[in-house]
Amino acid sequence: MEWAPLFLSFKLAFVTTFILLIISIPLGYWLANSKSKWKPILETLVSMPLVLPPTVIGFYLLVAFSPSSAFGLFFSEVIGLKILFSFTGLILASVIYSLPFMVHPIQSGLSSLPSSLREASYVLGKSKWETIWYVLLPNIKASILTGLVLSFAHTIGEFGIVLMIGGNIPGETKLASIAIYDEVEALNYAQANFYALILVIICFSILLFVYLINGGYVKRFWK
Amino acid sequence: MKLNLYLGLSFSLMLLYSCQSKTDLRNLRIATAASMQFPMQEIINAFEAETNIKADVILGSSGKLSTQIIEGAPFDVFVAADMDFPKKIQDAGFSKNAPKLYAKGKLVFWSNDERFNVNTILEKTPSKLKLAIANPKIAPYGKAAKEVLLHLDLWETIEKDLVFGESVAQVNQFILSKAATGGYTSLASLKAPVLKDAGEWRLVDESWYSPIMHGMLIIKNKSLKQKEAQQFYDFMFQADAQKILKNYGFECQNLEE
Repeated sequence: MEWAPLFLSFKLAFVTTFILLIISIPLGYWLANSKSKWKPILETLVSMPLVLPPTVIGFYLLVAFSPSSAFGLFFSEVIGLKILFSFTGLILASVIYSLPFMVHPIQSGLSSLPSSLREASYVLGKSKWETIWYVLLPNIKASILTGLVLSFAHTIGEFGIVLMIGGNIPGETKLASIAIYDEVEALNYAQANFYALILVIICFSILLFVYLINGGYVKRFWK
Repeated sequence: MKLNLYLGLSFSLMLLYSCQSKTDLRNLRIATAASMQFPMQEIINAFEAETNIKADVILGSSGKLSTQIIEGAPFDVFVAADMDFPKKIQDAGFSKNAPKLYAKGKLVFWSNDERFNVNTILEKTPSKLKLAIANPKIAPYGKAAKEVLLHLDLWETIEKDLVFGESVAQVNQFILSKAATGGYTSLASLKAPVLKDAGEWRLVDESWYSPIMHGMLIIKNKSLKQKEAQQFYDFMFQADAQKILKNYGFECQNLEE
């Protein structure tokens, strides 16, 4: 049995979730607090991957980074980053594709906190960053956990974009979801079942874990 | 302080990814038309045994693979199922040489449904069938199947009931699972161990479709795999590989382009 596609899928999901966490906290904070007239536009952009077919994102990435376009040529020749048919490209695509799954929980978590919490911290002389780090974020742990798990799971479940810009290269872009498709086409149902079953088991465990934690079952059990 | 943490994290992440350049330690990558999937596995095994060069197969329809190559996919050899798609790659500047003909494929009509007789099914009840063919735009065997249906004057009648697979690989899956009553696929698929005893098939008269000439070429790219690619290219025309192709029903000798 070949483990590489599964390993690759989880590697992609870990890296993507990590990057998303870094960009979504400031983004979510800004969206939760800003009164800028640009806010609706940014909110729309963040939510676009929810409604767009993955093929739209895949298609535009393909067009933008194609070696036949000036931008694509600049990117691969001058910056030296290969986006199409590479693992780096899959990270970029997944970050775009899973962005709303991380930003939304963080944004709604922060908006639901009473403003008195922040004001109290300011009155006690804490700076903005200290307030975010020590007061606001610890109060939305559940939302952050939800964001982490949803982005992770959504990245594992990615298929359309990877099919378009991945190129099915073993060890580089052949993720578990693609490998299943590939094995079914090759009529290797046993191997396809192996990947599919492992994904079902792992995703079930991850989601169960989150619901147990967020539902407070674990706390109750330990008390 | 928090800002520094962010910048630091993002920066180290970027560093992590710019350090990854292991492109030349990778295996040889052979983009393979779906109709070649079964013989290709045997050919690769023989090739690896002889040269000790590891090779990966990337399967797809000839059309899909050629688009990916033109968009810069890092493949080394393209083993197509016709001459037109590799020709396009040469025209786009992704190969130094012209595609070389390595085999001639045959189209078969196949059904895994025991209620039907493949010899009479089309004549008797064309309108009640769910036939599968590969997408004629991107799969050479799909194009041939469309020519056959046009030749038989059936295209108009059954077009609305056709199911289109992305390649013959998907067509095989449709027919094997009986999701489709029957359909057109490559002879090579039905010589494969998994499909050998599934249902009934017959060869399609070769005068009903234009010959399916399989061509291949070496892709020009920046990797250091060009020598290995050339070795594989040459291997395809040697006795071992030609024997495997013949076992899968391909014609390899006295081919005219």
